[in-house]
Parts: sequence; C-alpha cells; structure tokens
Amino acid sequence: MQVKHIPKDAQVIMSIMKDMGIEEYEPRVINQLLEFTYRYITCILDDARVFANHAKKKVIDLEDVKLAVQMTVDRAFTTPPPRDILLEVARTKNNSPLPLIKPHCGLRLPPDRYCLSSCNYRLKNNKKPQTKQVHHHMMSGGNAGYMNNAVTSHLTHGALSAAGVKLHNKQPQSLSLVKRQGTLATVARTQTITIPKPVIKFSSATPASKPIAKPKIQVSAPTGNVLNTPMKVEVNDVSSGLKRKLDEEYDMLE
Amino acid sequence: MFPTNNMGVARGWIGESLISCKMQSGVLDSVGNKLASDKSTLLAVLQLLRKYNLKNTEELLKREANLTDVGSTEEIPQTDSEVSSVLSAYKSEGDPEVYEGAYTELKRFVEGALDIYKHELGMILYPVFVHMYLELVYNGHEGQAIQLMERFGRDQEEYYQADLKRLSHVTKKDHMKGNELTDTFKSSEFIIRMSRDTLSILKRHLQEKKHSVVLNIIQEHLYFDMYEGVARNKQQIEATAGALVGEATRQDNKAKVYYGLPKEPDIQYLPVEEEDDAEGDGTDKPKKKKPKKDPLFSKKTKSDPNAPPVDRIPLPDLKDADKLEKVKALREASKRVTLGPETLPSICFYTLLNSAGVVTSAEVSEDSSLLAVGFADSFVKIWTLVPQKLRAMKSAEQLQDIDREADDVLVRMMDDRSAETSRILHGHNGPVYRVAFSPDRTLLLSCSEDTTVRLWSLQTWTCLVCYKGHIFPVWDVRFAPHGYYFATAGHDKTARLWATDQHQPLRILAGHFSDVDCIQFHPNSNYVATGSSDRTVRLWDCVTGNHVRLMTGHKAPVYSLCFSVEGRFLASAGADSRVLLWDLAHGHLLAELTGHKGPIHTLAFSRDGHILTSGSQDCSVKLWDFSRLAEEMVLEDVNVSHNPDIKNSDSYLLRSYGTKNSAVLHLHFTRRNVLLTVGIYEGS
Repeated sequence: MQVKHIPKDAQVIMSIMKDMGIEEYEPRVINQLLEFTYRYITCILDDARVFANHAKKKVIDLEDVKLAVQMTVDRAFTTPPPRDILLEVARTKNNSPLPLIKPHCGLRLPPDRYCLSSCNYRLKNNKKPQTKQVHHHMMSGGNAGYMNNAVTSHLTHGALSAAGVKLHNKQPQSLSLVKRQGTLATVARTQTITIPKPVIKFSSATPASKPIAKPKIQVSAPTGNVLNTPMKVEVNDVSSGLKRKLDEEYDMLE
Repeated sequence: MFPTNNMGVARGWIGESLISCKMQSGVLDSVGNKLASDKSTLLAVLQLLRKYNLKNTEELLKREANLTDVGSTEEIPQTDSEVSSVLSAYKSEGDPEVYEGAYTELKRFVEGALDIYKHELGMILYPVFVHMYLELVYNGHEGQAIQLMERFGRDQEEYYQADLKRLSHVTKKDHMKGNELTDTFKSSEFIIRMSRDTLSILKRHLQEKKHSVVLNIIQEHLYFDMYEGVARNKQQIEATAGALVGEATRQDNKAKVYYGLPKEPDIQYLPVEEEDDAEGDGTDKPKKKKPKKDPLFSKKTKSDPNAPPVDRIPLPDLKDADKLEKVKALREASKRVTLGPETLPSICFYTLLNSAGVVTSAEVSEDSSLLAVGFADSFVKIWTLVPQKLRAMKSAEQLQDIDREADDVLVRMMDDRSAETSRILHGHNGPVYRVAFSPDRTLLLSCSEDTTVRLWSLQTWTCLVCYKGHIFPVWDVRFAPHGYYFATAGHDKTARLWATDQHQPLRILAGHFSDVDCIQFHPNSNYVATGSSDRTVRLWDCVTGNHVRLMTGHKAPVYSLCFSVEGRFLASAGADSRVLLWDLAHGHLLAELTGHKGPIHTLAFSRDGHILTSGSQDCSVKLWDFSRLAEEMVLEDVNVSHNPDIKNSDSYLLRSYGTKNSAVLHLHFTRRNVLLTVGIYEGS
C-alpha cells in the first residue's frame, strides 16, 4: 500500500484546525479551506497590486496589502450590527401599536407588489411572416434582382457582404421586406440618404455553418413612393460596390 | 493610513470623532459619570491636538473645558497616545506584570473566605479574568496575555471553556475589532447576583487592598444584583450560571406575564347547517357535542387571572372553516388516550433515508396529515401522511364553474386529477432551516440561509410572498397558534414578529448577545420565547416588543423550546444535552432533566400535558413525567425572590427509546396522543 502523501499546505490547514479545537471533520473540508485560502489570497494580492500601481510603487508594500484586506473585509465579511444599534432600531419599530386586523378577508397577504402572485411573463406579438427569406442567387439579374419591393437598397456594404456570405440556401429565395411597425415613423422621417442598418430575418431554418451576424433590414415603406426615390439613388451609388462584393462572395461560395 | 486622514480633517472634526469613538466603544454606558474619566478624556484630546500642532483648537478647548490650569507639560498617564485607547474602557494604567499577581491574590482571597460565601465570591473570578486578558491584549501586551490565559484559563468553569477558547484566538488589538465575543464583553456588564453579606465582604476586601487594576475592572465591567437572603450554595449557582453575560437581574423578571389561556370563543355551530340534511351526521354531532363542550368551557369561565384579556393582541376572527376545524379537533380530543406513567404513548418513527447532510428540518402539521421537510439544497418537500392526497387548486376558468354556495366548496375547488402523494416547492436560494405550517394548513412558511422567509400556498403549491428583512441567515420561523402572525429568529441577533399581510416586520425583538437559534409562540399568541447562542432564553411580549423574562442556566446554545399545554411552563433544551424547565410566573428554573448524551433538537409536550418528550442527536427519544413535576410545583409557595429548589432528573425519566442510528429531528403528538417522530438515518 502506498502511503498517502498529504501536501504541505493541507498539513498547515490541518494544524490550524487542531489549534482551533476542531477534531472531527470530513476530509473534503481541507480541500474547501485550501481553495478558499488560495482564492482569498489571490484576490487580496490582486487588489494590493492595483493599489501599489496607483501609488506608483514598483513592489507591493505592506500598506497596500493592509488596505486591500480592509476593503475586502468591509465588503465581504460583514458581521451583524452591534447590539446598541439593534436596540435603538427595535425601540423605534416597537413604538407603533400592532395594526388592527380587518375582518372578512380571504388570504391575508401584503399589497400585490410585495407578493409573487402576479403574472411574470408577457406574451410577445407574433409577427406576420412577410419576409424571412433571403435571395442571393439572383446575382445574375444584377441590381434588378435586388429591386424587389425596393428593399435591398438599404443594405450597407458590410451588411450585405455579411448577408451574402451567410446565405447558404439551396433554393433561390427572395429577399423581401420586413415590415417593422415600430420603425415606421422613424424611417419615414429620415428622408435623407442615411442608410439605416438593414435587417434580414430568416424564417426557414438556414443551415448556418457560418456564423450569422444578424444584419437587419429595417425597411418599411409607409408609402412605397417616398422611399423609392431615394432608394433608387442609393442603389445606384452602392450598386457598383455591391456588385464587387457579390462577386467576391460568389468566389467564396464556390 | 488612517491617522493621516484624521490629521487632514482633525480641526473641525475632533468633536465628532470624540463622540463617535465613545459610541463605538460603548464608554458612555460603562464609564458613567465619573468626573475623573471625563477629565482624562479631555486631556487625551488635548494631547492629540498638541501632537498635530493645532494650537488654536487647543486653546479653544482649554478655555471651554476650563482646563486652563493644565500646563503644557502635564503628565497624562497613558501608555498609548491614540485617542481611542484613552476613551476606550480598556485604558490601562497598570503595569502588565501586575495582572497575574492581582488575579492570584484575588483567587486566594476567594478560596480563603468562609464556605457559605466562597461560591458566590468565586463567581467574580471568570469575568475578572476575561477582562484582564482583554485589557492586556488591547494595550498590546500579547506575551503577558497569553501567559495569563495559559496559567488561569484551565481553572475556570467547564462551561466557560468554549468561550475562553474563542478568546484565546484573539491575541492582538486588531483581532478585537469586529469580534462578536470581545464586543459583547467590552460593551456589556457581566451580571452577578449576590447576597448582601457576600457583597459587603467583597467590597471590604477591595477597599483594603486598593488594587487598582482589579478595582477598575470590577467597577467598570461587573454589575452586582443584590438580593436579600442567604448566600447560594454551589449547586444553586451552577444551575443558573453559564450565560454569556452572567445571570438575570431581578429587574429582568419583574414584569407580569399573562401565561394563561384566554377563554375560548363559544363556537356556535352555524344555524344554517341545521336545516341542511345533507350532512345529517354533521348536524347531529354538534348538538350532541354542545352539552359536552359546555363543561370544557365552563371550566374556563371563572376567569383565569393569569390569562390575557382577549383583545390584548389583535387576532383574526375565526372563519367558518376554522370553526369546523375546531369542532373536529375537539371531537378527536375526546377520543384521545390519556397518558401517564402507566400508559406510555405509541410512537411512530418516520425515518428519512439517505438524508444525512441533506435534510435540515422537518415538521408535521397540527392535525398530523402533512409532513414537510426542508433540504440543504433549498427545496421543501411535502408528503401526505393520510390517504387523502395533495391536490392543487383548479385553474381560474374551472373555478368559475363551481357552485360557490355548496357546502364542500373548499373540496370542489381542488382539482382531483392533480392528486399526488408528495410535492416539491422550489424558490429558496440556500438551505431551508425550518418549515412551519399555518394552523389551517393552507399556508406554509419556510426560512432559509438566503435570508428570506417564504410563504407558500398549499392549495396552489406556489410561493406567495417572499419576506425580506433579515440580512443574515434566518434560523427559525414559527406560525402563531391562532394564525396570521409569525415570528422569525436569525443570525443578526434579533427575532422579528411579522404578520402575513405586512411586508415588513411588526416587532423587532432585540436584546440577545448572539444569534437567536430558536423561537416559539406561547399558546395564547401573546408572547414569544427565544433561545440563543448566548445561552439564555428570553420571553418577549408581542404587544410591546420588550423582553419580560430572562432565563439563564443553559451551558451551551439553546436549540429547542416548547411551552406546556396550559402555558405556565416552558421547556428548553440545547447543545448541553439537558432539558431545563422554567416557571413563567417568575422566571425561575424548576427542574433540570439530564440523560441525553447529545445535543437535543426537539421537544414536545403530549396533548394532555402529562408527558414531555425530547429527541436528540444521540439517536434516542426520552419520555419524562411532567404531570408529577407540575404537581410538586404548585405545592411550593413561590414568589419573586425565593428560588425554588431545583429538581433533578432521575425520578422523572419514564422511558428512553433508542434507534439504530437515527438522529431525531422532530417530535409531534397527534390529537389522539400518538407520538410521531421524524429522524435522519445515518448509514455508516
């Protein structure tokens, strides 16, 4: 039989326990105490280093360690308040008489906001599946392919590249509008050529072998015309860029 | 680090720091109005100002405090120049070497005194020793302190050894900061009850010797509660010794306690029911029962002078369901077995297997139909002990369809399909230390190490309220016998009284010097008793929140309390393996029942109050003859100052039942006086 060799640190813990008068303990206790010791000391020394750096010292000093200990003790190892404070608090609290009990109640519970009886979830609106399908094989159609419902123009370069790369669907799907009710007003207001961040929502389970960065198409047309015109402009602006990106993506896809 | 801070704001801040230092060290309490100490305090402040070269403030202080006669080279007798050391109660003028000599001398005096006085005088040795030690440590004389402890520590009483061990770990002044034990000693006086003669002998001796060290300590840290009468002998002293800060003064136990039970409200069976023949059985019984009930009630109509007036504390009215329950309880009570030395109860032991280290508490409901167990991994599991299973309430839509006027609407609102034998309640974040059923069995309270107390509904099996108030683990929670109120006991040295419809506690019962380990309501719901790690048992009045009784005598933390059925006596037990019986009329210790070999965690009185049972970690249940004890008690003429003789245990033990290896967790008498026990089997 091999002799169990207890490491020195564990022996120190055992001697501390013997000193404190603890005779019986489970063997796991030593491990737990050791772990606590390591964690606590590392924490303290880390804090001490921060303090030493703050004081522009090269090495950790006794004062830094003392300060670190002080900070931790105030935060972590709190003790119950002293007795005189408790007596004072109690005296204040006990001065008010016991409240009378209202007759004829059902279950006597505190006001609702102190109870756990309210509903703790909220149902989310189920969006109408208007879009959610992405198209990327229509590259051949050039820009026209992206002109479905005047959607795509709002894609930024980066987003589109991301979108393009991630589109691995086998069947050609059409990129379409995602109507976001909430953003109607905001989009309508921005008649300038600022391109809002596009969102693409995929409804079908796309085999996402590449991580999907969730680009968004935030396009909603309160009136089709309003957005169309600026969009057209943008498309033209970005079209070349897009085309280049798309060509790149094609290469990657193959 | 901090002195420099002080210096920076010393000028405008000295006054506040003075006051704050004083408050922290509790000097205002212990020093009193001694003029000399005031002066020395001011001198110390002067010296501090001088040290930091604050000339203007110094002059101002001198003028205002009329210290103009103090020259600039005045000798201020202190070893430390820090303000706090002077202001603290441990200012030591003495030479550290003197302490050992002083203590030896005191000991010699005590041993040389006459036998009648010797034991009472000996009571001062422990507190004097402790304070000597703390003074030495405080003033930095570590070596002498350790030497003192080694030489005289072993001589102290057995029951103080645990505290002394904890003290011996405090060897530097820094250790004293925030240490609960040293704070207690520093700020509270050790109370010793002494007869007039003994006290005069002691005073004479101290005046003769003029030993400043001992004299100072005695004057500042000891409080003598004098009583007229013969000095106590060793046995009597030992019976009430052991608490952290000495014994109870006469003042502590003077208030009147209404320990009786109030007149029961007359339960009129609802007249509507008589016309309803559906429960022909039900209508019959009450009519038959009424004449039987009357004698029970008429006994109480001659009003008990010791019973509280019914409206002393607001209690909820009885609902119809409660009245039915009471009738049922009375019916069962009439069928119960009367226990006595000849007729011992039958015992049914529920063993929880594979639960060592996992189960923390167990509780049986009042009508013995439900068993709730609290686990160390934060669950509460409830089993049914009767054939009726645990049903959940129907959903809201289904509830709308039921007939609300039906008799058994309470049964109809439960969904039969959801019947199960056990249910688990999730919600706590830490070990559940206690569970408590409400008297009507619709609610369950649980308290936990995560500092919250949760109220669960046993009809919907969900958590209803989470009461936050304690900021430290809560060790015990109990429902009042009449429902609506509940009390908690925690690590923060307070117990709190709550009502289920208040999100904050109604009363804070502060006064213990260490954690409050257990709490129990009096049968009349007007009082709560608490047992603590400071080895005292206190009785608190729910109406005022003040403690009305202080009972010392335990030599180790108190873990269990139980009131007798008629409310006059209180049984307490704890880690010292003894059951102590107290008379609440005056707070006297009546009897001490020894026999157990391990900490006792549960006590129970039988329903007729004749038998007291105790269950302990030594895996045994012991039955004690309480009826004989109570008989012998009323024969004695007891008043406030006369301490009755303390009965000893041997003749009262009726029987002891051992188990294989199951520590007893909970004892409960059913309404028919069958004893149910819950224990944890420890395999190997």
